[in-house]
Amino acid sequence: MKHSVFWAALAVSGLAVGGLAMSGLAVGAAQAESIRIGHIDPFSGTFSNVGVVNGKHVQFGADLVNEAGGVLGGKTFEVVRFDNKASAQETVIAFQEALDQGIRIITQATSSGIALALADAVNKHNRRNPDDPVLYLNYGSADPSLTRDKCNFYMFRFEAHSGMKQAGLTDLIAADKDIKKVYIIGQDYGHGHEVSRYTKEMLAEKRPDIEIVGDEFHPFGKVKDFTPYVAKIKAAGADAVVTGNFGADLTLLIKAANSAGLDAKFFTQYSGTFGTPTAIGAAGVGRVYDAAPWHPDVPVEQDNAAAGQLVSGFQEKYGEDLYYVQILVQMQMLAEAIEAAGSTDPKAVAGALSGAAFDGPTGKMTMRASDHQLFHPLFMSVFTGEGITNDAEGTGLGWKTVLTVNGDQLSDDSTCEVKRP
Amino acid sequence: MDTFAFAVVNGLLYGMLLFMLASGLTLIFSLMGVLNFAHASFFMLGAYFAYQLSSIGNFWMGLVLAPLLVGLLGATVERYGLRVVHRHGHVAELLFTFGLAYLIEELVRLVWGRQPVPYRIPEVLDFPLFSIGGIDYSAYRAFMFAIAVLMFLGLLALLKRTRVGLMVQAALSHPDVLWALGHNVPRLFMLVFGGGVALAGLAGVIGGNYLVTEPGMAHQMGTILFVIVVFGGLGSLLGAFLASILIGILQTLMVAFDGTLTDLVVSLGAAAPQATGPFREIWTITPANLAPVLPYLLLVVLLIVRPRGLLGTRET
Repeated sequence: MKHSVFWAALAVSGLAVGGLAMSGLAVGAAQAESIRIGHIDPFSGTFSNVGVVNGKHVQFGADLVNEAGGVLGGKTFEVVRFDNKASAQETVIAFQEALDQGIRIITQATSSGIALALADAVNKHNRRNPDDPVLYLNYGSADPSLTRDKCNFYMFRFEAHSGMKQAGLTDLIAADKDIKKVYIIGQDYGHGHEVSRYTKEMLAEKRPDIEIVGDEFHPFGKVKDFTPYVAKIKAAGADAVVTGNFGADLTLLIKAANSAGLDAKFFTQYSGTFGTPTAIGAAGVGRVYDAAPWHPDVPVEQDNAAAGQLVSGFQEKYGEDLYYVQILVQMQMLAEAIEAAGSTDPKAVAGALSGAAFDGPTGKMTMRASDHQLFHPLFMSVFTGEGITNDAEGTGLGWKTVLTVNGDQLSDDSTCEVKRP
Repeated sequence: MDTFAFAVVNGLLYGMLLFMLASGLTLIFSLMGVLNFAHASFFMLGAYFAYQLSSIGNFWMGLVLAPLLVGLLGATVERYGLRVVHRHGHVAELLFTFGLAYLIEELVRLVWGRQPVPYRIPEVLDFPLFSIGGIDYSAYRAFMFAIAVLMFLGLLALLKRTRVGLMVQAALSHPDVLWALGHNVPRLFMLVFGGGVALAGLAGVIGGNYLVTEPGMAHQMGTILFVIVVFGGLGSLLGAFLASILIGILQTLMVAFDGTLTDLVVSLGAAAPQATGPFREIWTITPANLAPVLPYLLLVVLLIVRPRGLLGTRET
C-alpha cells in the first residue's frame, strides 16, 4: 500500500515536470517574431539565489524595453533561460543549446570562471562562423581579464570590474586621514588575489604612508569561525580591512569582527545584495563600506524620480529590492544599439554598441570602444541606519553615498584593443 | 601564552558547537548503523524553525520548541521512511538519508527563499562578556558553550542513569542480544533517531544566528561531522566530545600560526629556496590554508593506526 502511494506521488511529480517542459516549448514556438536573448546562469543548486535574482532583473529590463514599444517598430525582447548549474561545462552545453535554438544574443555573469569559459566558447564559435556570430553581453563579472587580455569585439561588460571598484575604494581610503594601517584579507582564489594586488599597488601610489600590516588568504568557503583571523587583524593594529569576500565568507568575517570588538572599517565589493545586508545586520553599521554601481538610496540622493520609479516598479512586480541596475542598463543599451544598427544582426549591433553613450538611471555612461568595458558612475557608500529613505532588504538599514566617482573619472589602464571584423 | 590561551578558549567554543551536531550523529550511527547524511539538514531545520518562532514570539520560545519540532519530524521520518527502507539493508538506508538531505535543502528554499534570513542573536545576550588577548567574547558565545555543556551532561546522565539509556548502551555493543531479549528495538531506534536529530536541531537554534541561516548551511557543515564521529570512535560520546574540541583547538591554532616552510628555512640560517615547478606551493603555503583539510588528514591517519577511532568500543 505504502509503495503504491509512493509511486503515485512519483508519477504526479513526473507529470508536473513534463508539463512544465511542454509549456516552455509552447512559449518558445508562439513568439517567433520576438528577439530572443539567452540568459545562462545557475537557476538551481547552491548558487541559484544569485541566478534567480539576476533572472528577475534581466526579465525586468526586457519588460522595460517592451513596454516602451519594443525595437525596430514593435519587435519585443524575449528572455530564454538556460540553467548552467554553476558549472563551466554545463554553461558550454547551454550555450550550444541556445545556438541550436537560433539564439544569437547571450547574457551571463555569475562567476568569473564561467564567464571566461563562455567567452572562450563564444570566441571559438565566432571564429569558425564569421557569417553567423554571437553577441555576448556580460552584465558584471568581476575578473578584469575579460576586458584585458580577453577583450573581444562581440563581448561587452556592463559593470566596472574588481580593479576599477578597488580604484574607487582606495580613493576613499586615501581620503580618510585616520587610516594608517590596512589589513588585506581575501578568499584564496583568483579574485581574492586580484583585489590584494590592486589594493597594494593603488595604495602605494595614493597614500604611500599607509602601512599594509597583513595580506592574508583564507580557504574559500570553508571557514566557519573567523575569530582567529580577527585576532590577527586586531594584533596587527589595523584600522581598515580590505576584502574582496562575498556571501558567507564576508558575513561571517564581519560578524566575527563585530563580536570580537574589532574597531576597524571594512572596505568591500559585495556587501550590497544577495542577503548580505540581511545577514550582517546591525553588526555592520557604520563600519562596512561598499563600492557598487547602485544602492537603493541613489535615486533619492540624486533626486531622480524616473530612477525612483524603477525601484517601485521592481518592488511591485517582484516584492524585492531592485539592485542590479547594470542589467537594466545592458538591456536598454542593447535596444538602443539595435535601433541604431537598424537590425538584430550581431555584427551590426556590436558595431553600434562599441563606443555608445547612454543616459543611465544613475548618470552618464559610455561603452569604451577599445575594450568594450562600460564606464558608469560608481558609488562608495557606508552601511548605516541614519538618513536612509530606501533601506536594504527590509532591514531598516541601508547605504549612504560617501564618494561618487563619475563614469569619466573611473580609472582602468587596460590597453586591450578589440579586433574589428 | 596569550595565543595559546586564545586558541584553547576559542577552540573550546567552536568545538562545542561541532560536538552538539556530532553527538546525535554518533548515537544514530552507532546504534542503527546508518550514516545519517541528512543530519546537518536537521541542524538547518532547527535554525529555520527557531527563526520562524522567534519572529512570531521570541528567541527563548524557539530555543525550547524548535528542537522538539525537529525531533518530532525526525521520529516521523524514522517511523514512516527509514524503517520501511531498513528491510532492504544499509545501502538503501544510506541512499535514503542522502536523498533526504537534498529534499530538505530544496524544501527550505521553497518555504524560506534562497537568501539568508535575518535570524538574530537575542539582544539581552549581545554584549561583550570577557576579553582574552584583546579579543572580546560575547555573552552569546558563553551561552552557546553553557548550552552545549548542559547538553553533554544531560546526555551522559540519560545514557548512564536511566533505563532507556541502559537499553541504548546495550544496543550499542550488543544489538542482537537486545533483539533476542524481546525489547522493542524499532521503538528504540525511533526514539534515538528523533532524539539525535533534535540535538542537531538544538545546535541549529543556537548556531544559526551565530553563523548564517541560509539554505547552504547544511551542506557546509556536512562532512566535518562524519570526521568527528569516526575519529571519536563509534558509540562514544566522550570520543566525539574530545574529537570536536581537538579539531576546534587545532584549527584555531593553525590560523594563528603564521610561518611558512620558507620562513622556517630562513630562520635556520639557510638561503630562501626559490622553488619553481610542481612543489613550489609547499614552500609558501601557510598553516591557515591547511586548517580545513587537517581533520581529514587526522581521520585518514587514525583509521590506519586505530580503526575503531579514539575511544570506540567496536570496529566499524
